[in-house]
Amino acid sequence: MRNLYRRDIMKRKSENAVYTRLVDNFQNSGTLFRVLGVLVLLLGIHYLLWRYFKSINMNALWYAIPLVIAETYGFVTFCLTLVQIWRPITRQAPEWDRTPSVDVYITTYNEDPALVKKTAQAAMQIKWREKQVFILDDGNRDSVQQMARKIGCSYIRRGEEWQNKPRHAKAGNVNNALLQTAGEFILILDADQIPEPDIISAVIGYFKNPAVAFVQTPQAFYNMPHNDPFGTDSLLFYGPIMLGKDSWNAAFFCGSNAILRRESLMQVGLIRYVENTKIRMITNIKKLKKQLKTVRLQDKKKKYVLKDLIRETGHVQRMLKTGLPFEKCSDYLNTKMQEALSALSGKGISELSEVLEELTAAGDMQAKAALEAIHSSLSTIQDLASDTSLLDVSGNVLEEINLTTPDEAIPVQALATESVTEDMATAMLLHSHGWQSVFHPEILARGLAPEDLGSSLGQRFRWAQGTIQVLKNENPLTLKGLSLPQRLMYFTTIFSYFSGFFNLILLLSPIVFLFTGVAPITEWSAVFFINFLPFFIMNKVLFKWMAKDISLWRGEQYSTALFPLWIKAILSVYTGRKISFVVTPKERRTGSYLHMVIPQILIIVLTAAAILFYMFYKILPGDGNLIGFIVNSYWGIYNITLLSSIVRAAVYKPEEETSGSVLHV
Amino acid sequence: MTFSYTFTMHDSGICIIIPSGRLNAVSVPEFKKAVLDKISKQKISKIVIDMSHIDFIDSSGLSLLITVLKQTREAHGFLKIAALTPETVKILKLTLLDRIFELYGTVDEALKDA
Repeated sequence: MRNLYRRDIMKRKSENAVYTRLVDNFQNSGTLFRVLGVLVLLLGIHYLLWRYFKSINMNALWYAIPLVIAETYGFVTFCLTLVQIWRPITRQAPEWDRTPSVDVYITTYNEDPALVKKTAQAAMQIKWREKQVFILDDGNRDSVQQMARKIGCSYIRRGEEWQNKPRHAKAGNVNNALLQTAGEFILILDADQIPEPDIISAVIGYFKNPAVAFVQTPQAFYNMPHNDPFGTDSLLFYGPIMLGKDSWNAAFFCGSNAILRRESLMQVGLIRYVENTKIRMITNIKKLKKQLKTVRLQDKKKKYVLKDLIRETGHVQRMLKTGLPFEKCSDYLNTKMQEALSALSGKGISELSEVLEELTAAGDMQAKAALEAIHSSLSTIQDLASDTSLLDVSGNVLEEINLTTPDEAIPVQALATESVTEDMATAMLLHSHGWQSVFHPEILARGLAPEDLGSSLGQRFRWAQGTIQVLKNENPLTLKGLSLPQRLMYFTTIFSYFSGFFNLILLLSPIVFLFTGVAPITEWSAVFFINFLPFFIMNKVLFKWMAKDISLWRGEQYSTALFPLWIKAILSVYTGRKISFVVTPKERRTGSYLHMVIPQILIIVLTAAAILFYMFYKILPGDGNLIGFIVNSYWGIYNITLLSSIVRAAVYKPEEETSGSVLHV
Repeated sequence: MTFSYTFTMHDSGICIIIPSGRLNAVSVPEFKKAVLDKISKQKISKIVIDMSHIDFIDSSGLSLLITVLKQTREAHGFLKIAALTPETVKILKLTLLDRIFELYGTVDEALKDA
């Protein structure tokens, strides 16, 4: 371990220097950045006004309108990004004279036990007096349990209460542990995230402010392949983006490498429990009422009982509205249900029958006759039960009304469980309840980057799906309690996943022109360049300057090249269709993933063919539009370079040294 | 102040629990085990908790109340909480738990309503 740290200190210094320079840049030239930002904004508005009012080709609206919408999307993204990084703040963790207790959670599901061990050992080395390390093993592996015992850390797995209940993946794993440990703060680490010994001491001071719910630190990788073929490098996100979000008190919790205040998590868990219980009560009472209304009875007296019960459910609905405790409403309805069932089925007979059985045993013939009468009554009850399906009602619906949350293993789920990206949803809930967050720009843990395109795409697909689920379930634009900038910060991230549709338009546009000769704008002329180039160039300059040493190119390539993935993710969430995402781990590292990038390859081929087509059939014969050709072929080649990264990644084979380093640390 | 608790069986078959001290993440695990054992092993499902000696309750403590509520009601019983101090009521209201529980002024009131 010691060697590991010695080797890492150098790497850590150089990596963290990126953040330092970035922060210095913001501090020294923030005003200049904002002035430039406004200038680019004005150029963008000017360009769009020209596009909308002067340049649309009215003869080809089918082509012109989608393109101008895609460009508008790009401009809105620019505006949101500008707001995001408007005034990034830099922080220094305050001194704190307390050493509160911290639970270190290492979450694992199916990772190699050797990998978990490495993380656990590093966690045991964290320099903090009041800490306890827990391995949260969702894989229920005895080997991991033994390993934990051997190295002296605690081990938690799900209990019996989780059987046949939704497990809620990582969120459920953490929620389960929260009920079993007692630390005031929780450091969450993914199984591969090897922490630095000072990960707690470097950031705990932020919690001196009692309103701070969590501190997020960057995620970095110790196996990053040369040249970052999969676009995994997260310097841009854990740099300008998070620094910007942090300035609006909207730093995201990213699932790992973060310390959270237990009280804040439990508090939002409770609030969500109450809100969900309310919804469940309302829905199920409604269901009950509806079911009762479908019951048909012949007997007049019984009909009256049923009618009375339906009226009582309406009464309980009103009780809920007036704000009476659910416990009270539930008890009231339960009593009324029992009274009705008793009236309908003659409850009490069974108790009487027991007594009579005793009498029969004692040879009382009169009692025997009575018993026979009871038997016939009982069969009537059974008929009634099947006739009215009244007892069917008392299934899940009644359990829900009885406040037992029958569908959940544990009623209070501190980490949000509604979406795949539990981290983002949890942060949003914390923010909406007035809690604050901190982003600390210093690498304090490093983990494994995906080593093949399959895993990389799988991971991104889940993120995209989860983020869209957050929009669907708890739209940040309408969620009560968020500030306007916080709404925008969440929306910016969610909005970025919609780029797939618009990027597809931008990728197809030059192909359409080059093959058909139909232009989306009135004319390809100098006017186009005058309007377009200043915005385009200044936009690039602004962000390049802002990012300082961080390369934006790979990110730009992937944000375009992943368009099929983003589209799939959105469709899967909104259509409710399960889209399987095939990853074949056996082929890992050595396999080819070309089958996963077919749409991108198709666009590359079509673009190249379109350029050649226009050149040979239009330009060379002398009847083509030269400026149109230059613009669109440049655009097409630019698109090809954007897409080429992912195709190269699909056939990427790591050098032995890089891939092996993980296992020999 | 250390945390302690007592269980008293009332004539009506209701168990009155009197915890005292700070009901927080530190004291919850042991207390939770004791209460849940009562429910599952001794088949006691009707519980009234006298909160008058609780100086402080955090969200982990409140979360325990919800767990006990679920368990007792699953066993066709109930959990009633009574005699909360003004500070405890404040924390309960902050997490909206006053929408779940009827807050009884005294243990007697809770027993009467049982």
